[in-house]
Amino acid sequence: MTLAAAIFGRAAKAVITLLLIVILNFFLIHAAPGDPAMVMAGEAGAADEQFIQQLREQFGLDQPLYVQFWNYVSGVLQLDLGYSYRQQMPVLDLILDRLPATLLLTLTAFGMSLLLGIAFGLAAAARQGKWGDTAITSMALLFYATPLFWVALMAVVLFSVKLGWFPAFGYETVGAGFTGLEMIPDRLKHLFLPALTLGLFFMAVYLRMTRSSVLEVSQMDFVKTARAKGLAEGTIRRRHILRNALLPVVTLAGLQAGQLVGGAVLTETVFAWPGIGRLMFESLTARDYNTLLGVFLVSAAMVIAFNIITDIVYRLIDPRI
Amino acid sequence: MDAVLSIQDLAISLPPGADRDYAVQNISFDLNAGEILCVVGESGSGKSMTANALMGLLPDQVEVARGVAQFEGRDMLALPDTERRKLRGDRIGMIFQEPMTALNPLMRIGDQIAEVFEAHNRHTPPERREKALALIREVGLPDPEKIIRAYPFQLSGGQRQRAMIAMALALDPAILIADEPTTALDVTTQAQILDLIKTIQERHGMAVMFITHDFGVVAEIADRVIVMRYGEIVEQGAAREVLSNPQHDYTRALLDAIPSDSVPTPEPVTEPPVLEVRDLRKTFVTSGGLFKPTRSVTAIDGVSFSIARGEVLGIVGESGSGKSTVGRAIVRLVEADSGEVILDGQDMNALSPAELRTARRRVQMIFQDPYASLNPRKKILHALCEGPIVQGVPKDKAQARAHELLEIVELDPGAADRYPHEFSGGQRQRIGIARALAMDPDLIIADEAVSALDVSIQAQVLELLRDLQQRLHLSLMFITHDMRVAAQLCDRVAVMQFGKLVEIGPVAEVFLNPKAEYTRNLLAAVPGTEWQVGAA
Amino acid sequence: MMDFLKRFSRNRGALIGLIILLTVVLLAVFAPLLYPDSPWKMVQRPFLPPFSTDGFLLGTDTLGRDVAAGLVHGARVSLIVGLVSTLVALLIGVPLGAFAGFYGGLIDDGAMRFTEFFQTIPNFALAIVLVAILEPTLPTITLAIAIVSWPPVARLVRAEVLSLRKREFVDAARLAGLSNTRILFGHVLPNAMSPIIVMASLMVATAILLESSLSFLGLGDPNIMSWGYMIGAARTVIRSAWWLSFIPGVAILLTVLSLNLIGEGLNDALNPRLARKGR
Repeated sequence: MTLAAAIFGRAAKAVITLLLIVILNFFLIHAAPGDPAMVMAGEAGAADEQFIQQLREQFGLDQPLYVQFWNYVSGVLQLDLGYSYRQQMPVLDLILDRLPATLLLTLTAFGMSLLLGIAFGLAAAARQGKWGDTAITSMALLFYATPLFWVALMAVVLFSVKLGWFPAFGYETVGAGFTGLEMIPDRLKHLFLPALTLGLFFMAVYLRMTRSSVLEVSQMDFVKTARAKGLAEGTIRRRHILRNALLPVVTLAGLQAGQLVGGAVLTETVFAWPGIGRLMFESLTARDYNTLLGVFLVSAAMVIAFNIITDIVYRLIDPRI
Repeated sequence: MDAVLSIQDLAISLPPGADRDYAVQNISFDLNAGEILCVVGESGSGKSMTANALMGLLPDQVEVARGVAQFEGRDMLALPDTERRKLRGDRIGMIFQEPMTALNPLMRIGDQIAEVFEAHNRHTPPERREKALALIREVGLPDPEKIIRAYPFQLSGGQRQRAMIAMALALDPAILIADEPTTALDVTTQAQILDLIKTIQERHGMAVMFITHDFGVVAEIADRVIVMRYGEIVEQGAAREVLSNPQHDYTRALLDAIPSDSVPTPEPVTEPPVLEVRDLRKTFVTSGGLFKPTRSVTAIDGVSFSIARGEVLGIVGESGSGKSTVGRAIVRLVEADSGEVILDGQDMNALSPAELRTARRRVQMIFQDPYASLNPRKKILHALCEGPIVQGVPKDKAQARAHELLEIVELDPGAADRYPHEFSGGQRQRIGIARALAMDPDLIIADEAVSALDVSIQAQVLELLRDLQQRLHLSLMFITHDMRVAAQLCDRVAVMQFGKLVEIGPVAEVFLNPKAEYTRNLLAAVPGTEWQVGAA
Repeated sequence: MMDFLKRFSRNRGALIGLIILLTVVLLAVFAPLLYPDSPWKMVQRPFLPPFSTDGFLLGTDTLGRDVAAGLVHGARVSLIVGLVSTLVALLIGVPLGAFAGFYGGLIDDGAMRFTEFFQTIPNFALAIVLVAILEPTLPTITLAIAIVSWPPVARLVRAEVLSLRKREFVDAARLAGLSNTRILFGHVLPNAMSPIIVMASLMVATAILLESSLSFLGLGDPNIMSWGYMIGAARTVIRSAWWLSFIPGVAILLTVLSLNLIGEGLNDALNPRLARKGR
């Protein structure tokens, strides 16, 4: 199967998945207690019967369910994710406004956790059974069991409140008026704690996977063949063990994408990072269901895009597919 | 004769808690220049450990306890790791048993060969490529320009083993260690690889240490032979000498255990057929899904034969010949596409699923893998009784029968209350036989039933099967890749290739006077044929 | 069985985990005896630091509620939600995976597409949406966590069943005339139990993390004290009273850690030859 055909196949599957999520969204809206018009009216701050009736007509909520369904789905297909009364903005605009911040955060956290996870995993495997291995795997176990939002809070306490090294919240220093290149160190300073706390859990996941995968591959016959050739241990590890051991890590990284986006909700909430995770939290407390479901759909789309990318990476590494 | 390698008093210690203290001990032998030395033994004899110790490739916690291995003026076992590494692949090459897993799946064949030069800092990259091409040609791989860029998964087992040989040969080593290099291969491929090793050994004047469990292979290529058991050498000498005049009891027992080619006198088939297979066909289609092409493999291509009551029919063929699929299609573990399987006048293929459940009793199977054929969580009694009880036999009767059957297959009746993991491979195979008999079937299909066993155990199980067949007048369909085993047990044999029956007839006729060319090739490929014919 | 106990008890981490978990379970079970009053009740002046006042070992929170009481009562929610949601997830995942693996073909295709769909949806986001829309109560939270947790179970069981059904003892059972259901439940699934048990113990841990994350975001049952809620409520005073967030977090960490340790111990004891730990 060629790469192009594979990508096309994945894209077709992605479209179907997204459509199913749209359908799920529609039913979720209708599963919510009270009809959407009442919720909207509540959001808009007016609750008299006449206004609600007017809203029902305006949004076709007095129409039969299948008409509403069609209106909703065709709306989403035209990238109309509805209107947020709370924020007085179309949901799509809101999300697009916030998306770059989330991409910056999640991709940084992902890159960091993958690099550190693989590096520590390799280090642990190389010291299998020795104290270095025990130290690294214990650390992984600890991060694996720590609630993400709590690590974030504790990082704020330690690095911002007590030590004052990094800012406790936000995306940039408000009112500092940094422009151009000056912006970069400021941004990085703000990015560091959120990315670190979001990445720690995933680093633990990749670390454990890398370690066990390396140990498993080390037992394989072709590694013995490589030794029989007289290759140096370093070369064997680099050329024969590492590449084969990383395949399952890539698969896992793809599967973890969804969790990364979920984790972003918590991290962004704690650090007041202006991304779609924070938006989700805001819409939650404001009972802004249109926005909530819009963010849900977009985050699913992000995960799918990420899965397609890992799929392509996997195909590039493994000649067998 | 001058020894290239001289081993004295080698002992290898196992980690504490193993079933014995030493993997091998008191090992002393010489490997002479230009000879092929076969090290023979059954599993657990320590034959591979010896080779791995020489290479410095022992697994963790397994260590050389004492001993000297003189090679090119130095004691290899005393060398530091870095020095040992320089010898590997350069002065000593090694090939392994499993060609399917011995190559890095993510690396091109050419790169894996060129890597040997790189490891020892020889030649420039373009030269390495040229040398790799030459090696690929020397080991007889087709289309070298294509092979050099191929990945292992694109090669067959035999081709991968050739690639392994090319790597081992790259720096023209003084010694080649071959650890069961043909065990995983089909008999015709095995013959080719043995030929190749022999040719290369002569051309390069190497000394070869060839590890095997198969005396047929010994007869085929060995100059000298060492027989090992439980980690010690029991006998060594010139191959001809040991084969024709074994001194040690164990060697004699091993040689006796090899099924001989002496063919039984055929008894004419007089009884009515218990099974008739007519024009059976099966094509496996793997639907590729939306974007993958569908692939189809014809496993059974119009096969017809019959088995008489009390007859043993052998089905022989190499892997992929469809012999196992025929067996599985008869019992409908695989649904045939078309054809009739008539058992006492009843077409098994026409039965509804409900009818089939009761009809299944009449054909039972003995399976290949003694470790997978018993449910690890159920006691033996359960394995022997479950089927009869499902078929309506009262529980106490089924249990009484189970104990009786354990005795028949020569197991302790106490075995009923134990779990499978408490038994050895051979014992489990006996339980498998008892399980088949418990259903009181009209026909038993044995699918490679002795292939996973060591040769001495194999002989015992075969003996039991033959005995039971005669005593109970069983009808048996015996599927095997091993021509010798077939010759020993069967009344008639059918030879399969690419899903077709190429030849069927009484054993003596098929083996002594084969009609089909494929049968002739197959027989010629069996290692050690000449030696056995000479001995008979 | 004895072998299993011996192997498990030889694992130091697993034993430590077991001790921690037992402590948490005992505290949860005896919560009504230890702290008979509602954990919501204001009992002292707010912001008492830990170890400063007799009778209030861990101090009081922003509204003067006893932190220790909250902790003990919160253990109940964590454990119940963790356990029940895992059971529900197993009830969905095990049959689905078993049928998919055992029958193959269209059933397998359908079941796996379904599973993949749920696996693609970011699971925490889905849990948030479900709880937010269905209103946060103990049953909806539990259900939401179960709904986002079952796909890995289905995949694991399917993979196990797929490999087990090719074993020769399954063929033998078929030849004995056993029905499909009997083969599946009598021969195949019992052999898939060890990895399922291991996964279940790790799932309880993940479920506890999910529950605490939800209640941290304010999606906990408003009538029930939980660890996540305690951290969330103390968030605004993190600068002045950091310990109010710190203490419940340690409780979560220890509980989840203990379950992970037990899971690893089970894994090593049940699959002595398999050292795989990937998920």
